[in-house]
Amino acid sequence: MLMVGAGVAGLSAQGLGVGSTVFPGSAGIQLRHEPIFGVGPHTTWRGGWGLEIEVERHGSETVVPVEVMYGVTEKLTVTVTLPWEASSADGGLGEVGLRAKWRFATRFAPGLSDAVALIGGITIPRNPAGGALKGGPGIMAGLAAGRESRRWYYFAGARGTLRVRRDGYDPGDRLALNLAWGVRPRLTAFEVPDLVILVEGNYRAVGRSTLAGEVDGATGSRVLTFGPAVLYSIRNIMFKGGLDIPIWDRFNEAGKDASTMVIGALEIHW
Amino acid sequence: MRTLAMALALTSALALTATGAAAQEPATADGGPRIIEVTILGLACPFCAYGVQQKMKGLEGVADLEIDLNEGLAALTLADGKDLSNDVLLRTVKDAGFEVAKISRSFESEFPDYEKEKGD
Repeated sequence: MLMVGAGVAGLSAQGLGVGSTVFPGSAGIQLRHEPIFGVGPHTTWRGGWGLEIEVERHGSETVVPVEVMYGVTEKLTVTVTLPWEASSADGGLGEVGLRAKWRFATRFAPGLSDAVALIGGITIPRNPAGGALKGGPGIMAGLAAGRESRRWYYFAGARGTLRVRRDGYDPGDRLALNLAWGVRPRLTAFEVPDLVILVEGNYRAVGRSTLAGEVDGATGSRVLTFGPAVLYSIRNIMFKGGLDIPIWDRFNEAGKDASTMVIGALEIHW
Repeated sequence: MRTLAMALALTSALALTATGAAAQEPATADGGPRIIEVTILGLACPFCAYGVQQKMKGLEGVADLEIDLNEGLAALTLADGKDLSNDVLLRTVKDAGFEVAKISRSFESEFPDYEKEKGD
């Protein structure tokens, strides 16, 4: 008997006998004051390194992604994400992510920057022998725009992920849209603890999954969420936390509801 | 022999005095420190300014660095006799992910002050 996993984003696999994939929490390439659940256009400096350790909790699932980022140039940042699935049925290393962000347009003014970036990447699920089916790699592409100023933050982003079929199983494509607005309540000086509060809105859609060409009608979902995020930094160290609270959902599986997602993270740059 | 020893001692003393005088020579014409002020566009948050600090502190001759976020200003204090060209400063700020609006020096320099032209 194959393992059965319940995908928290609506990727219910009951009836198909397949496993879930990592839920779509962090996009795996956020940095600095970008949205925690969405994407933004920030990149790190040329030759700069970054490390982010997250704890993502969604329903009964917990994932701990560790993300290493590097600034190839001041406009191009690449990341590697290693998510540890702490509580799924066949926990362990989840979908390894390789992503890149190219900040291709900028406009600078005193204390203000506008930026637009293209995002691309691939996630590679672990398919252990005899384990649950998880499908093939996910190919992600997205666009993010943002304005950062001393007081205010504005972000908008869109990203889509095409899932490649593997062993006859396709877990369904994904689309995510995000908007965020933020404020720095107190304008702080350099090297002084700094607080930014964001309000994030997200829309996520997961397509129906297929196994051996058969579409599982009980899979697929659309969820609209809203929630606060707090970003607290001291020099090059940032603590982040946020809630992603469902305010509307449509699941093809009867009786299924979206649940709140919580993310806590530590980000360091050097 | 005694005369030679005295001559050597005198020469050494003079050399040491000359070195000391050079070390105490005023950094600028009016005796102030050698400071370059770089006005940076796009600098909005302390976390972002850390990148600028990392890049600028790595420049040869920078003895101290102060960043004023509200003014978008990085003030580099240089070691005696040191200077940094506008090209180096423009490249450093660009590598940090920002843009230079203005560069000005508190001392006589072979490099002219810089100001970004509108429309650049």
